[in-house]
Amino acid sequence: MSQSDDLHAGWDLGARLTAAVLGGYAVSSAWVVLCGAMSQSRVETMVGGMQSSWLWYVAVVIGAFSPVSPRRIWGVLLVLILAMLAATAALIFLKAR
Amino acid sequence: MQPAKKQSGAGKGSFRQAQAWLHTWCGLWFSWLLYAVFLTGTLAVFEEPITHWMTPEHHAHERAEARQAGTVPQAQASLSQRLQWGMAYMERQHPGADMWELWPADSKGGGDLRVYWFDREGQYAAAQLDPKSGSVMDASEAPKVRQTLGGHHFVDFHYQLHAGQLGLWIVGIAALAMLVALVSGVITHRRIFKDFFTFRARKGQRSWLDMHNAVAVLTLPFQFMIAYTGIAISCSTFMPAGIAAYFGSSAEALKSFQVALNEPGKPQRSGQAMSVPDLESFVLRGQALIGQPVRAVVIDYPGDAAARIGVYGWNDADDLSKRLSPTSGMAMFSAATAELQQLRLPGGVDGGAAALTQSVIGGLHMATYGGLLLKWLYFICGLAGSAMMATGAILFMVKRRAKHQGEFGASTSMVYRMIEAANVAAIAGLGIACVGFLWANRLLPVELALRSRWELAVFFALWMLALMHALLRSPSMAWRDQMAALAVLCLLLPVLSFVTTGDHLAAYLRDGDWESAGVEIFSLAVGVAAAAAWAWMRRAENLKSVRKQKPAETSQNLAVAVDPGAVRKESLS
Repeated sequence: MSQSDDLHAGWDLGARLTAAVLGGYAVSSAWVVLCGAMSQSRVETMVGGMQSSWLWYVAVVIGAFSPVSPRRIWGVLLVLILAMLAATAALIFLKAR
Repeated sequence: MQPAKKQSGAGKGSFRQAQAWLHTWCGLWFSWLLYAVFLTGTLAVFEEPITHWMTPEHHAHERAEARQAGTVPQAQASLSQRLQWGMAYMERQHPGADMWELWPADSKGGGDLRVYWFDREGQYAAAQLDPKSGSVMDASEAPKVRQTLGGHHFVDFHYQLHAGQLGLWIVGIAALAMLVALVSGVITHRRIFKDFFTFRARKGQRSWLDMHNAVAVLTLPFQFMIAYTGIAISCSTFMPAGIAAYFGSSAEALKSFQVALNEPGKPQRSGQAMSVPDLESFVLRGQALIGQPVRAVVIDYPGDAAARIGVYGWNDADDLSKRLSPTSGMAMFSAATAELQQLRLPGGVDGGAAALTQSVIGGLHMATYGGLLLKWLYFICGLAGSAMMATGAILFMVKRRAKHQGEFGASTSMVYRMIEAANVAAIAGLGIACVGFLWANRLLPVELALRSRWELAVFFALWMLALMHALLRSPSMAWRDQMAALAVLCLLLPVLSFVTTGDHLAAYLRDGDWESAGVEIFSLAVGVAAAAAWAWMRRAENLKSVRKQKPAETSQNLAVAVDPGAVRKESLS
């Protein structure tokens, strides 16, 4: 194995690890915030979101170590997070009207 | 299934091969910590019996109480008298507190009289009053008992490693890693049902794999449940994003979240003074409403006109075993108008579906339901989970002892050596530390200052010693030494207890003290198992050296048999 291969493998693993650990946490957190926006009282649905956020976390870790390029994994994660935050904003905006 | 060289690695090969890689490494790096969490968590199922065994000074007292149970109880202060004493103490000592909490009596109207309040820093503080006179009991007057964490050591260690919030996070991360390892492990297995019935004994690596699969597959639902509920119990700590977004991130905000979740109707202080009315009528009404004897009376904002009086009940053990949500009944009254503001029946919650789910999650994890039989089921499943992690960690090395895989480049051999040592110290060493904790309980002098801390120090010191021993000895010798130590400590525990306290197994059985008997019988069982493991390892090692000796001359000296390196040199020459 040449040096550049080693370097590439290191980058690949690092990108997957950060996607799994940080990306997973970010998606779960966005999910909790989205769930909080689903009810006026916040608490009920938010706790439901906390209780279910681990499904997202585990799914992201599994996905991050599947045979897909890290770039694609990060792309999917960013789309997921942005979609959840956009939905949160939309819900709050709609309910406020 | 040995994936080709190029196909192993993060995200390499087919989906299943990639998951196998994740399972191997996520499993390996977390297996030692998870094994420790699982084993201590399993012991924590029997927290009370262990505490009972570790406080032998209480045994005589409890026996006397049990003998008295049938007879007329000695003159004890009435409930109303106890409430008055509690209130008198609070009014005298803590008039400005935000909350008073009286625990007047046990479920039969006897027992201790305790009071709690929030002090100026908002911390929970406690005092114990004499149930015969109402005066404050000085800790030094209490009968001399050994200070010990008892079985709670295992509870605390298994969820926060005695390291507070930091430990909670570490265990939480490990629990998530366990969920990941379980999911990736299931994906890795294509023949999950076939493996269910497969066990190939005495086949080396295959046997370890079969054992790993068998314990994991048989108890898979339990493993998922216990890891998930373990995380979800502390979900508001682990996932604060929602609270931060809608309530803010200060301590104040966290409190208002807790109030919104658990006490949606909590009033504000009014600012008008009003003394707390006599509690007895509230307590009697509350008991009738919830159908439970009073456990605690909580007064929010005492001295204010907006004060509330909450009456909480004692759960009945039989009733508790029949429901998943372990909450007790509660009736909340306005102190000013005596009007019922809120009623919670046993098993209910004050919030909605999410709060009820949270309560059930707690009940599921801590086995508050189902009674003794379920506790044993949890205990056995917990042991199976520990075995799953132990066999997984061992399997990793057994595979690599047969075929070096060079994952760590030039330092692979060194890393393998570390992993071998970590396996010994994590699996056998933790057992030594746990039983050593019980030994310390009997050997440390009762008068020792900070005694419960010393017990804990012995636990951690033994564990560290086991790690150092495993690093210094060759792996196979380290396994045998530590198994022997575990066997000796476990088998001699009843003897030690007899020598130091005079209690013994036959007496426990005669007196019907099943809790103490259970602790010592389990210790003996572990001792026998460890001795068997030791004997098996010795036989296996002897067989190996005999096999190695065969090709060489039979007249080899003894050094060859004990030193495999000598054999290798011999065959090279």
